[in-house]
Amino acid sequence: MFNLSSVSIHMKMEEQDDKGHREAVCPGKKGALDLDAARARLAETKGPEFWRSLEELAGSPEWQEMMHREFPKGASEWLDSVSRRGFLKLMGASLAMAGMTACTKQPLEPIVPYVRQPEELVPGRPMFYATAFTLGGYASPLLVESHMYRPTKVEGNDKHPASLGGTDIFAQASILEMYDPDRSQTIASLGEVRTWGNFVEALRGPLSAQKAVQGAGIRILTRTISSPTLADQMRGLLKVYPQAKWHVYEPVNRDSVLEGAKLAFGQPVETQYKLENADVIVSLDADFLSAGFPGNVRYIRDFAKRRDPDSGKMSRVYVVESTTSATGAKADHRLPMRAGEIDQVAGLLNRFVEQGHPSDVFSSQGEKFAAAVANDLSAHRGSSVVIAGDHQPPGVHATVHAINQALGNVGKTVFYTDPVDANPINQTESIKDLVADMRAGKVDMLVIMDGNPAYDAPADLGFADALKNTNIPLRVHLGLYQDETAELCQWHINEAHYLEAWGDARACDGTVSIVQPLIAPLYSGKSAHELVATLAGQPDPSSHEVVQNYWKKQHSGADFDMFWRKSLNDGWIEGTTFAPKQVSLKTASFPAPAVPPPGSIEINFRRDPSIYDGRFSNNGWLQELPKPMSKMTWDNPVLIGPAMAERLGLKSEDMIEIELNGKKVTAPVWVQAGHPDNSITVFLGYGRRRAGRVGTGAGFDFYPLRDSADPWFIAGVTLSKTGETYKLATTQGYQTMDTPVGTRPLVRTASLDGYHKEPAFAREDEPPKDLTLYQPYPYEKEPYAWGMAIDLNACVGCNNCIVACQSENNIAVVGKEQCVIGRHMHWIRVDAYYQGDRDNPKAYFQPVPCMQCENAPCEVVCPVGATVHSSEGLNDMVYNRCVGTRYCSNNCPYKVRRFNFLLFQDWETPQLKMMRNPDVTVRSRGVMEKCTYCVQRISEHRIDSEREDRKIADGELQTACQQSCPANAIVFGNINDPESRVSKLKRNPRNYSLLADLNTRPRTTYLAEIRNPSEELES
Amino acid sequence: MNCHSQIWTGAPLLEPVRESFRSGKSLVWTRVNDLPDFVYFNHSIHINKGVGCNTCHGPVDRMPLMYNEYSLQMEWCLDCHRDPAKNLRPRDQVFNMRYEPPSSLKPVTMDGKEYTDQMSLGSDLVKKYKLRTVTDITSCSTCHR
Repeated sequence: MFNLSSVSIHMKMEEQDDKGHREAVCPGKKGALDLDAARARLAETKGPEFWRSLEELAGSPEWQEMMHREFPKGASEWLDSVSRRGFLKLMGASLAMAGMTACTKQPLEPIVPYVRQPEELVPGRPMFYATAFTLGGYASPLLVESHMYRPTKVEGNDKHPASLGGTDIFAQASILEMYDPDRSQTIASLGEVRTWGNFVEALRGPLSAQKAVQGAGIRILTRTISSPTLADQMRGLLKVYPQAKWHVYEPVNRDSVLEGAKLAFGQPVETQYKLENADVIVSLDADFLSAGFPGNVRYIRDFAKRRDPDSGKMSRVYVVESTTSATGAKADHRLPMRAGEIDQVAGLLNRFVEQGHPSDVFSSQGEKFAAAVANDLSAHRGSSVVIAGDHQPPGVHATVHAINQALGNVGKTVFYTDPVDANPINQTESIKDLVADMRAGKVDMLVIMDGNPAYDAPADLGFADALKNTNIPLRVHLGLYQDETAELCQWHINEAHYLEAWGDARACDGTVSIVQPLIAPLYSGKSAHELVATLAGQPDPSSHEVVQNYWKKQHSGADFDMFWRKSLNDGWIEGTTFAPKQVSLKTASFPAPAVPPPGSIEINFRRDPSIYDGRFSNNGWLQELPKPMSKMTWDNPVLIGPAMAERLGLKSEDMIEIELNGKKVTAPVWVQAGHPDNSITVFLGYGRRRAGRVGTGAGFDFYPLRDSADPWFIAGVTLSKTGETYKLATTQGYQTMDTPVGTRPLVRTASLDGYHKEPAFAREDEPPKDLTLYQPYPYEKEPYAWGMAIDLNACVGCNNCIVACQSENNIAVVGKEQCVIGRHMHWIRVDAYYQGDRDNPKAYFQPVPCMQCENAPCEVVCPVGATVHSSEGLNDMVYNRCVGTRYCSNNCPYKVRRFNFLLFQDWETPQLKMMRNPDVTVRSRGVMEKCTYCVQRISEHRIDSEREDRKIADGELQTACQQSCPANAIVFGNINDPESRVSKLKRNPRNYSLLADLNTRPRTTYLAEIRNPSEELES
Repeated sequence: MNCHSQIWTGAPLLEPVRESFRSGKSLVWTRVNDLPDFVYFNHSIHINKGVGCNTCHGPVDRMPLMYNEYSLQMEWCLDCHRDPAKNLRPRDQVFNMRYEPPSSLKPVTMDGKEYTDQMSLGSDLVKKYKLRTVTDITSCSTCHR
């Protein structure tokens, strides 16, 4: 058969023809955004109460136009330069030759059995192995699903105390990282492919020369390491070469936390929180609900538990933040404030908690906020917690430690342990020392393990320049990709991914998990253990031996084999959790905060919510994952607040030049509601030069602006418009369920008091069940009727459900061009709704999978019967019948159906074929797809339970989104079982359906969000 | 090799099997009973519910070379799914290649009761093996997902 996909890839896009066309395609995405109109509408409350974008708030004509359509104008058209007629001409010949034979006979397929089948394998049944994913040194315990010894899906390890089964987006997307076809596949030296033997040989001379000088010329640069085995190996190496140095650097490091702890307690400690014990949570720029914050998975779970308004003990959350984040969105009270000014708030809090506020007169909003917060904290001594953001200066951390001590929170909501980092040093100082040594000619052998400092080291150090121009005789890079740093090293060793290698790592609570491989290294990669063992002189090491030998030394009991197998089975090693330790405050006075000049503009450098620091640039799932607040994909525009945008005459997609200390970067702007004034936020990790097909060139590189002195924020940038624009792909504004005529009550929210007064405020009168032309079906007589309830109170907008669904259901990545016109394929989306003042709105998240309506509007309009209803209440999607009329998605009021406009799936690359879930069809072009409530899991569990002659237990069968949700916000189950969790949630007075007045009778319902505002701040 | 390490160990016809065992290279078979990729078929549930081997595969014990007895087209599958009772047999007879449905000459005994026609045996088996209703097993997502 002629491969039609190759045609679409090779067609050129004519730029000039497209530009005019593109403007018409996406109205409302650029063009005059009248912020005045937006403000006016809010003031007169004529505008929508809940809005998803500033365009919607302004009610611009472009936005009105968008509301009429599901996809923007031209989305369903062929945008390439070859016209439709030309395409058919090209295809016509081949279609005739292919012969339109009906599908009567299957083409012959071979079947190839094992010669010696492994005992535990049953083809078609997946197996699960426990391992751990490490980020920033912190391990996420996982259970990885493996089909025929190919890992296909990452799940959390629900027995592990540090996570209780939750995962984050980086762990979920790590499957794609392992199968990335752009991963480095060989050892290379100066452009030539080499073998491991060659490398060991090349090391011989330099290492023996170094032996003579006790390793004075050896430098090893690693990222944060918590692995006990690797740390032990490094210390062993340093014993062999006593003058060698071990440097540590990661761009997203916790130097401030370390220095803050040393300032407060005189020693580095790890701070952990027991949020389930906290009545009042105060965050000073700490985004503790987002991936990348150590322990965030556990914190999300505990936070969500305490937000239950029926428990009588709903917590209250105050957030002061310098940018917009999911944590700020979940706050009961949020104060946007520049990062440099938060130090003052910390100081005020400290004073007010000790002494109370002197009067009723407040000189600033910050002071009023701090006073109210301090009152609430004082009223909850021992059951409150103050958390400082990782990037706040050490003084803030020390102050916060003092506040927690003063409130008696230590031991109850906050406790201290040994650091998880096996080598807790100031990483910025470490890399500064390294570069100084490099420039002084002291380095003879530099080994860079798993880092990319040529791209992400502080700009003032000029690491790439030092690496290139200081004539270091031997430079070795160990990494997953041949990246910017590998380019400048003589030897590049391709690294084995954590799913392919043995190792160990510590979780945020200190518990050690053994990392075990799910598959042999795809490209014979080597792990850090093997490299360090080789450097230490061990011949032919294997990471399995190295790790096992380390634990043989640690394990004092007799039966090592039993201990080893139990640790591998459970997913953690018993007895390694850190015990809380007693520390005392060294001092009560901390350095006075530096006050940033009032009119200056502050720049905030943040880890990107989905790309982190750049290491995940080539991961298509993460590039396409909409950011929690801006719903941006594929780019990292500069966030600015609406007030500043107005003053400077900027609108979204305008290009600006940011200048800081003589360095300049040009990037587009995104106007973000709720962003503090006189401040911009830039996200790290984009603009890479050597990331792979997906990541190279995506977004803008802000590392050149980031110095070692102020890596997180600094005041004094200047912005200037360049006059150009840049198209950005955001999913915000697409798939809206509102109408051009008026908005609908999609997100329902109330205060805790309001909820107590009127518990069923969210319920609206649904039309009677028999008011329909559809044939009724007695679903209640079936053994199973599947339903889902999503608790909006618990959802923190982490987007984990989206990546989990993408992994489980083989959902394609479509690329930026297609995202611009709204063709992204995510089966579940998380909508963000704002409410209130555009400078500090409240925000709400709402995950929207398929509603699986009992009276589905999509089913009646399909001309070929490709979408029909199952007896258990599922809206079935039969891909083999679908011909692509798209009438179903037109009729769907929730806009949950996604259409394969082009062949988005990659059918060629062998690694991606290995990655796919074999239980789910890989869809071709021209078919509609949507959430199926993970019907493959339903079938598997139903068949298993029927074979075992029992019913499926509640909680046994979980959809991918449910299983991955760290907050337990998504609950799926059998609504015909009155005792199931989902039935109980649906009986909750907060339960409501979306667009209930349409009488679609959706099986997916929501629990309205309740906020717990304080009286003091509301008045 | 499991069976052929004991049965017909020297037969020239089985040389490919022994060669595969020696060299470690798998034998590549051509699939005869094959369904399209968009059909997700689970074998174990059919055996569990009392569908015999030769009901779908035909008399394989009497096939010198494997062939497709039935078309395996969707209409053929639906023919049984719409009325499973006419094809069920007791679980212990599932592997019996020479099983004959009950007749007055050769009744089938199950649970102490004698059956002389398939429909009454079948409908009792539907209850005993807890088959789902016809609407359930003819829902599209049973096989297509």
